[in-house]
Parts: sequence; structure tokens; C-alpha cells
Amino acid sequence: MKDHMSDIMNNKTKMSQQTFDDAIEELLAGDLDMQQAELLKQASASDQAMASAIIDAWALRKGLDELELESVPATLEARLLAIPSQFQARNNRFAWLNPASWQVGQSWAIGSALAMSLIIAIGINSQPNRAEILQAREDIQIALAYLGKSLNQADRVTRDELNQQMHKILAGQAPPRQHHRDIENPIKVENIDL
Amino acid sequence: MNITLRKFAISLTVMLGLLLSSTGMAQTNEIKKLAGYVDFGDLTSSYGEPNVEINLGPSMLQFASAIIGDDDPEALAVMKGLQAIRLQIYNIDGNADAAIDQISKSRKQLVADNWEQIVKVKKDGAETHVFMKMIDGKIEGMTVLVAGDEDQAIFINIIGNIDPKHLGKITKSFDVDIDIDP
Repeated sequence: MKDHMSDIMNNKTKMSQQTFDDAIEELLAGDLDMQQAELLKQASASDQAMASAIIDAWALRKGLDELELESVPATLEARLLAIPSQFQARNNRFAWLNPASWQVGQSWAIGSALAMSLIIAIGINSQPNRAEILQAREDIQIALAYLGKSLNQADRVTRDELNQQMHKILAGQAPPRQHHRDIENPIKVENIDL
Repeated sequence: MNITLRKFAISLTVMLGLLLSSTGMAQTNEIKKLAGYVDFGDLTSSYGEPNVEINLGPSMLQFASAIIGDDDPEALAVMKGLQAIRLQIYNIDGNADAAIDQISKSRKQLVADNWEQIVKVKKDGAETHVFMKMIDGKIEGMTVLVAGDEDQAIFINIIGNIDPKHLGKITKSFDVDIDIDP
């Protein structure tokens, strides 16, 4: 306050508009003591612009005081005052879901927790779909078909060899055991019905 | 993408990957522990990736057996006894040496594990071997090893309680046309 008055008294010509307005505002608000008010009065006596500004400000203040403003009901005021806190609370309720709001440690923890939840959900719903089941069915068929093919071929080779052996034996040709070098345990395959 | 979003995406991806890989590995490891499981070795270095590779575990067999329904109770009973079906077929392109070598290794292991060989046929450079794993009078596994036939090496492993006489009933129950010469 004293700074404003010093500026006004010591350097009137270079006084800024802001300093001038502040001094007048303090005067009207009753914040200036008697000594300061007297200094301002002296300054305005030699400064026409200052005197005019003080009068205008005083008139404005007086006009505002005379306006009859209806007071705001207490309930409305309370509700208006509560809006910021309610809005903040509603925003904060799901704020933890926003990765951008996470702290460094939180990001890993919450990210891992959400990932685990997703993984568990995937695990629970990991039943094969219809296409996968149909593929499995075809795979089973292929595997069994190759199994049958392999066993049938072994069976056929075995029968052919036996037939050849029998023909040779009946024809009195080669001794039967000579050709058994290539075939061992051939008969058991006949028990497999594929 | 900001740092927190990136971390979230990384953690999600890593954990999802861990789950999927662990699920697959867990099922594979589970099958390997079964008495009827056979290690076919790896012929990829000799023949490349298998032309056909089938690995059906217990869960998928269970779902597949649901297709049979109640119309064929005998086939359904056979299916319920199965725990896994595995098939690998390699194109050997006229060179059966690596396949025959692998079959020789597998045979030694099977004999050491008390599997019973029921079929052994060797003719014109081709080999067919059939083994069965018996436990308490029940078949718990069956494997067919073929090399040199039609330029193919075939490895089949059926795991579970199997009655070979009834395997054909499953084939009839799964009415799918496939292009395999009998």
C-alpha cells in the first residue's frame, strides 16, 4: 500500500495506470489510513485526472451499493458448491482404468491384473469350436486310415510270402526256412480287424 | 503409444504368450508321461517338416467323440478309452536310410520299455513294425512304424485303452472321405 502512495507522491507523471487504480481502490475500500488518504488527497489536488478518477470510482461504488440484489437461497448455494466435488468423485471412480493415470508401479500391477483376468477368461472359454472339432474328427480318420493301411499292407505282404512259401514247398523247391529271413512274427497281424 | 500403455501391452502379451505356451506344453508333457507314448525322434533334419502331422490329446478326442453320439455305443466306448492319437508322415524321396535308422532306435527303446512286437515285416527295402504296450492284460498303447513304403515314413502312436479289433469301428463311425489307397 505504501508503495503505491510512494509511487504516486514521488513520481506522479510516470505512475502506471495499474498503480493509480490500486490506490483509488484501496481508498474506496477503506484500506488507506488517514496519513495515506491525506497524501492521496494532496496528490489529487494537483492532478486533475486523479481527482476525476477518484470521483468516478466513488460514484460507481455508491451505485453498486444501492442496487437491491436478491440473495441466493441457501439450498441452491449448497447444491452449486457441491457440484465440483461430485464431478470430481464421479471422474475418479473409474480413473484407475485409465492407463495414463497410472503411476509407474501401478501400470505393471494393474496391467498384469487385467492380463490375468483376460487369460483366465480365455482359459475358461478354451473349448474348441465346431471347426476345430471337425478338424479333429478328420485327423482321427486320417490317423486310423493310415493305421489300417499300414497293417493291411503288412498283412498282405505276410500272406503273399506265406503263399509263395507254400507253393514252393508243395512244388518241392526251396527249403521253407530259407525265405523266413525277411519275415518274423507275421501271423499276429491277422487278428487286427481294420 | 505412451509409456504406461506400452507397459500394459507388453505385460498382456507376455502373460498371454506364457499361458498359451504353457497350456500347449502342459498337454504335450501330459501325453509324454502316458505309458503308451512313443518317442518318434526328429527326422526334420533329414526329410524336412512332416507332410502330415497329427497330435490329438485327451481333450480334443473327448470333444471329437461327442460327434459319434449315442448311435454307436461300441465305437463311443472305444473312443472314450483313447487318450491320444499321434501321426507323422515324412516324404523320404527314395532315401529311407534316416527313417530306418530312427525306427531302429525307437524299436530298441520300445523293447527296453517292455513293449511287445506283434508285426515285423521287411521286404524290398521297406519295413513295417507294430508294437503294443500291455499293462495288466490291457493294451495301453500301440505304435506302427513304417519306412520305405511308397516313399513315405509313417509313425503312428495310439495311446490309451485300445482293442485293435474295434479300431475299425471308429473308422466307420467317423464317416470322412480321405484319399488313401487301401
